[in-house]
Amino acid sequence: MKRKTFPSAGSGVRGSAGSPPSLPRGGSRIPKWSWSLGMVVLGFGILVGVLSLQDPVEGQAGETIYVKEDKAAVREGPDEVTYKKVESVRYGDALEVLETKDDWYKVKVVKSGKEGWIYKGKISATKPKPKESASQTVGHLLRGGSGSATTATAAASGLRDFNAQNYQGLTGDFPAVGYLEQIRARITDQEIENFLKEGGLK
Amino acid sequence: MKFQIPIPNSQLPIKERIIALAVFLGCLILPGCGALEKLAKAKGLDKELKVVQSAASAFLPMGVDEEIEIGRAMSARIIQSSGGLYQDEPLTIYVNLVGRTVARQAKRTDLPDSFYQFGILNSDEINAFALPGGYILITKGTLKLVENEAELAGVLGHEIAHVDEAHLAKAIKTAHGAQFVNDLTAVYQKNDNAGINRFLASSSETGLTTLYQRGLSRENEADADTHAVKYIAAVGYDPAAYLRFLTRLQSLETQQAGLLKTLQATHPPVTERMQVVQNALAKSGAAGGKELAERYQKISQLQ
Repeated sequence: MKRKTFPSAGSGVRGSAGSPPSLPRGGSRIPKWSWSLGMVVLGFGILVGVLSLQDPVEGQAGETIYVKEDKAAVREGPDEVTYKKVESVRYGDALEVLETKDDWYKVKVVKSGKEGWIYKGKISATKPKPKESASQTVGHLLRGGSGSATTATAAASGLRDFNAQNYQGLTGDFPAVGYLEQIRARITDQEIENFLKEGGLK
Repeated sequence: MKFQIPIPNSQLPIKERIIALAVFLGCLILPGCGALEKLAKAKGLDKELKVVQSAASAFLPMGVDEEIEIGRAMSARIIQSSGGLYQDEPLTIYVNLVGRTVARQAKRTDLPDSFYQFGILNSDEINAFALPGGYILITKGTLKLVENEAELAGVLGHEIAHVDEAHLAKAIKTAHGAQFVNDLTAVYQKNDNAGINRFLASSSETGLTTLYQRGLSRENEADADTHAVKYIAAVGYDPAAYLRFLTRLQSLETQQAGLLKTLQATHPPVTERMQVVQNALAKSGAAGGKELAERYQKISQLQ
């Protein structure tokens, strides 16, 4: 099975490979303390670099942009407090830019034809790479535990996949939690759509 | 508890402090941390490193992964002390469907609605718990009091809002103060089960004290009730159903106070909550919507 990265802000940082900087040799004319200062600068440099990787969106009217978050709201107006949600869009959904105002884009959702406003931080000018849907990620998370396979979540932070045996020494009914995790993983987005439809909900 | 900002207490020159900070930053962002840590130790900077680590980790947010782990540990504790799970798989799946439907209205993008999970506690008390990471537990007693799906959606919506606003996660972090960030640093830096479990044991303890004794703040509860109304109205349920549920809850206050002991100790008075919900209903202006009483009663044949 393909390994996927969990969409976490931290994962990109930890993924950046590199070796520890080497120390300047004694006798160098570079002051001894400069390497540590350099480290600090390097540290912030990498942070700034990672932050600036988030590509700026410069969509003009008529251009197509894409949703870059797992989910985002398209609203009636350019403000998330005042205006109601018109539609939920998901990662990779295509949007056609109609107009822009400050940090908000008025868009037409390509697959539904609905129009509304979306916040700049949720979108990208380039089509994001396909990835597992959220429910697949959970499934992946829960199916894991095959020895060396670290799950996406575990890889993101050093924390662990659910396995009742991990919690030795802790009080509690961990098998019961595992049972609930299995039930959760079994419920697909399609089932929820059907459940809504049957109840006349939206 | 007062949050203390650790101040370096040794008299090391500024240069050495910078080295310690550099090592800490290096550990956060680069692999090969072990080598840097060894270097700090070789230079006799253990203490310095620790102090800088705990200061710097105060800025580390509690990530969704930590929340999920705390949610699992707390769920396990609560399930064990509440008489286990109520063994009714169709009903458990149904509660999950209603909950996931409502969770689609939540706004956090780091916690997709498919991460929310719902369990039924085999207890006649009336209560529900929202644990970090989307772990929600509702008692069988609450399901008995509920008369239709819209009311259930309201109760679950209240709990989902607590998770969406990370109320308990923030309370745990605040109550733990410096100790928490130290533990969290350990979790971030080392991949050892024992360390993580110590972190989980202490965080769960704090979280359980909040849920069973102190309660979340009045503002948090009002916030959750207001969101519950918004969420269920957006899904198409009749939001007034949530008010009707609270009204029924209030009538139990005198008749069967024993069932509400924990709830009353940790939540604002029901009348106050009803006022909050009435205001939210007036503001939302949503009228009508589904109650779905038949669908609820068909599946919930509770003993």
